[in-house]
Amino acid sequence: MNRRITTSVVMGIREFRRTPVLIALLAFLPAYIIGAFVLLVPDVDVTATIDGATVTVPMADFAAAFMTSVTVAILSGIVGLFLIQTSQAADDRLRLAGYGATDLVVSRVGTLGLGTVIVTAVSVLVAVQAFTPESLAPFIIATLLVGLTYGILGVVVGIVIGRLGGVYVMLFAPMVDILMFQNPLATDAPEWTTVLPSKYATNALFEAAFTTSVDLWDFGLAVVYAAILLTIGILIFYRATDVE
Amino acid sequence: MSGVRRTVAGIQAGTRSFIREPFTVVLLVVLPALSIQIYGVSMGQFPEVGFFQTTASLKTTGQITGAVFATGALAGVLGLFQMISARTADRRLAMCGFHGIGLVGARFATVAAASVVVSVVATISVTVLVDGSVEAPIGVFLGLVLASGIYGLLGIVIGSVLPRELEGSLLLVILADVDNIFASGLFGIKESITRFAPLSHPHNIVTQAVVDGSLATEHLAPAIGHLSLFVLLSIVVYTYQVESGGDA
Repeated sequence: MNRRITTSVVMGIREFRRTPVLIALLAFLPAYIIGAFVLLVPDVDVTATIDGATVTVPMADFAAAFMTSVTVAILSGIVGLFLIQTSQAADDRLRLAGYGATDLVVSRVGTLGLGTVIVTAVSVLVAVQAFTPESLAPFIIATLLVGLTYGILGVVVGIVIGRLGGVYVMLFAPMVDILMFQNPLATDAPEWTTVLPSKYATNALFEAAFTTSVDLWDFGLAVVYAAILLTIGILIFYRATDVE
Repeated sequence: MSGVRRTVAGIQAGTRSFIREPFTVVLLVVLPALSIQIYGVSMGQFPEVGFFQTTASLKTTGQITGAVFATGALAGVLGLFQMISARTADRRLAMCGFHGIGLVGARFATVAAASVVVSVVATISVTVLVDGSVEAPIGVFLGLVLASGIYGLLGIVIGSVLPRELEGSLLLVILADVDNIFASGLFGIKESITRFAPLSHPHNIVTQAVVDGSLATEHLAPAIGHLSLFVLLSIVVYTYQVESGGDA
């Protein structure tokens, strides 16, 4: 990594450190969402369909795993949305100062990745206080993939739609995609929901949480989905910052 | 300038800045209908027996949840961004002699006007899109206008206490999403807990209006209580923030 990228990422981290309210929110909100559901859901077992098989799990465990993905998607999406919005003026100046297109893209993707890692780490830490996933490492990776997918989506939405409209969209998207259409309690999901952003990452997440087998196919497709979204994001970012 | 003219000028400025972003106006009109449809389809995929305890069919419950969520969340985000974008201007106006209470009145009125528009659009959408005929559209409108009023004010409170777009949006989005899940009855959480969720009572008012065609009077008082609480809270934090020149 060249010095320009390192400097840019370090500046991003420094800016992040200077906003203690944001750090406090990123630490508190996962605890609030996941914790609230784990504590409040009824003490019953639920039957979920995961990877084609029927699995019966305690409602609290299901809520912990489920709300982890919802939380990470919402937080990463909003962080991605504002990351680009707030850095646009700086990016234009950096371009004038001699930064190349690749420098800017890699540094912003790096900062987004870092934000997603933080959100994922906090959320998983809260979730594992409530339940023990069957396969912890794949559970973490799947959660990270959900976060990256929505972080990139936030960037795209932020550039294309703007702040106010972007917040509207990021308010609805994770709720509808994950909470409603990727819900393993559902038995009759429409076919078109397979193209939604979190489909493969949440499949992988639920498998890692509640089954001993890990389907690499889901991980692979989740990575491919995130990569396609990233490519689209980079193209839109190039156009928005007029770097080429 | 008289107090009334000042307030009217404030409302006009707020409305104008909002209308200048046509995409936002389009979203306000389109999202409620879209939300009702998507929530209806998504809830319809769950098995009707066993887990969920709802008074209406799951599809109808989904459509009502979508309507209440869209109305509340849209008003909330609008209230938040109104506060943040008008912060500097309001401080200058306070220096020019405008009273904090007049300024917050103008912001209230702008958010209230947008809330009424969203509620009307959402009521029409519910009436058209929900399966079967809606017996009490006035009850639906009342529930939705309460949801948007509560969340518009919550947006004003968050925008006054946390006047940064990223942090304010994060908090509002999370509160709205969690509140919506509580209100929907999706996870079977006890009513003794969910009744404290701001969207819960408007949700029940809309549900009863759609299903029974009557007004859920037992939920009206708690919903108005939530609304009054947020009115008081927003007046206190906003006037303090504007008149002190600092953060609430």
